[in-house]
Formats: sequence, structure tokens, C-alpha cells
Amino acid sequence: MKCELCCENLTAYLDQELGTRESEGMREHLDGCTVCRDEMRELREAMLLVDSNTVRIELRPPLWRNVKAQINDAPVARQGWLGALGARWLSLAATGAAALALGFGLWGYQQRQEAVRQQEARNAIELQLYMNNYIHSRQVEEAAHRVVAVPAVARHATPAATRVVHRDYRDNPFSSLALHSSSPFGSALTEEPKSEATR
Amino acid sequence: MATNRAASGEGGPDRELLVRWIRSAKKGDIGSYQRIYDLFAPKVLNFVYRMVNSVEEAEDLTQETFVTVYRKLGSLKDDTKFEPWLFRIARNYVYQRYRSRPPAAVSIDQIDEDGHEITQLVDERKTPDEAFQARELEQVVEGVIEELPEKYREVFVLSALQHMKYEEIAEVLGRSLASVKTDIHRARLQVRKRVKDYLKV
Repeated sequence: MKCELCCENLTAYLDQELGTRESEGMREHLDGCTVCRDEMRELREAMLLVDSNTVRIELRPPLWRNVKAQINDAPVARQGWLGALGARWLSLAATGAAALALGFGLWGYQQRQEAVRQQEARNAIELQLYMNNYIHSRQVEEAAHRVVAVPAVARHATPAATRVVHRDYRDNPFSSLALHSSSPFGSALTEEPKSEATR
Repeated sequence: MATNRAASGEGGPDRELLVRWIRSAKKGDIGSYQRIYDLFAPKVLNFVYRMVNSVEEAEDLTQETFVTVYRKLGSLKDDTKFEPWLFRIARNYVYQRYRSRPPAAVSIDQIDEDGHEITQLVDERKTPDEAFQARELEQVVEGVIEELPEKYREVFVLSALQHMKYEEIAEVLGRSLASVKTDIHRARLQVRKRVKDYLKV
């Protein structure tokens, strides 16, 4: 080992920070080199002098009391039996559970919204049907009214046609319109239809 | 042959016991944390003092350090690396507070500029002359350390006064082992140059 390298490693050698092989190399060189040996001795003495004459501040008791007071105000998050790893997994699990709950909540909301839409559709259909029935009823009524109101048609009404009209009007809640006295079908409607054999 | 690392008289619990205290403190055991505090607070206090040159500020920053350490203890992954982690937090506090403000000049009197008495280890076996010389040496050493460039002062205090391992110092400073080793050596050479006249060799 050369003196330059030896001098560079003197401090680390004194602090026992060198590896085994490096330390052996240093020892061998120092055994045979007076200059480096004197250098090492001077360095060691300087450190001893500094360490012996350094002012050291002593710890005052109030310091711990202040620390303890602040610690008690905000205690550390305890690891407990779970440990750091367990705490991490627990937080992940909690996040997952929260996400799952949110997902279920959204799904439930969507289901309810769908149910509402379906109910509204059913209501619309029922309303349409009702309207259709109403319109049909009105159409029948108006048709009957036209039949009744057209004497020319009434004059040519055959008994069969009369019986059809009779049946329809008897079942029709608006049949009172056909029972007008001026209606050519009026008497036919109030009488029971005669059977075919009696004609 | 070795420096006074081994002769420093620094005792303390072994690593296993320290790890046990740390684990207890993580679960909220204040008693264990106080043991940790008693062990490391003097080191932190003196390290911070070397960086800020004020006893009052050093106490304040030490206090903040240990409150933060307790609160963040759960984030320490490797309990065996507690000391470098602790000093890293202390160092961060020093630089946060003093980034824009240079450290105050060290007082050569026994009362520092904050009005606190600088505590000394008094050796009653010394004669008056010896006591005077000792006091003079202290002042010289204080001046030498204070005048070191900040980069060298840090590594010097941690290695020569706190006796930390180079690897731990590298962790505290966030630097490579090689660069820390180089700076420690350069710091020691500067100190040796300044105190050479006082050496007995």
C-alpha cells in the first residue's frame, strides 16, 4: 500500500470502519512506514483532545415533561396486534368495502329507477287502453246516432239489421239515444225481437 | 490504536433491548418511550447544539424532534435503524429553522448569549493552572468546531463526538458512504491542523 492511499484511509482505520482486508493492508504499511505512523498518531491525539474538551450540554428535566405533555395530547396511532402490514391490509379492506357498498347503493338506485319507469309505462298503457275504450264507446254511440238520425237508412233497415242494432243498443249504455220517439227504430228497440218463425 | 470510540465510556442497552423498547413504544407505552428518550436525547441535544450554537434553541428543537418521533414511530419500518432515523428528523428540524438564518457565534464565556450557563464537566482533581488550561482548551475546541464549514461540522460532530457509524451517518445525511468517509477525513484533518499546537505528541 502506498502512503497516499494509507493517509486517505487513516481516519476510517482509526474509527474501525475499514473492511478486514483493507485493515490488514493498513497495518502492514503502518508497521513499516514511520511517516504514516506519526500521521496516524497525531490524528488520534487530536481527536482525543477534542473529545475530552468538548462542552456537553446536559439534559434538563423540564424537557421530558414538555415532550410527554405534547405526546399525551396527540397519542401515536397504535399498531396493536395487527402490525404495520396488517394495518395496511385493513385500510385496503375498508376501502374495498366502501367501494362495494357504494356499488350496491348505485345498483339499488338504478333498480328503483327502473321500477318507477316500468310503472309509468304500465300507467301509460292503461291510460291508452282506457282512452281507446272511451273512444270506441263514443264511436259506437255516434255510429248509432247516425243510424238513428238517417230516416232513409231506417226505412231500408232489414229485420236482421234491426235485430243487430237492437242487440247492440240493448247492451250499450248509450242506448237511450236510440229510444228517441222519432227514431224509426224506437219501437223495434223496445220490443222483444220476434223469432224468425213468426215473421 | 482505535480512537476513543470504545473508550468513550458510552454504555447503553444492547440492540435487542432497544428494539423491544421501540416496539412497546409503538403500541403506546410511554414508559418505554421515556427510556428511549433518556438514551438518545443527550446525543440529539448536543448534536443540535453544535449546529445552532444556542442552548435554548437546541432544547426547543430536541423537544420537537422527540414529539415528532413519537408520533411517527409507526412509520419506522426497521427498528434497528432507529438512531439514524432519529438524527435525520433532528437534522431536518435544524435546517428548517435555520435555512435562512446562520447559526449564532459561539460564546467564549461560561454564560452563552441566551443567558444559559454552559454546563461543564468539572474535574476537581485539577490544579488552578490545570483548570485554566482546560478552560482554554475548551474554548479553542469550541471555536474550532464552530468554525468548520457546515458540511464538515455535521459529519465531524456525528462521527467524532456522537460516535456514529459511517453507514448511519450516510443514512442521516442522505449521502453515499464514500462521500461521507471523505468528508469525515477532511474535517478531522482541519481540526487536527487547528489544535496541533495543543497536542502532547
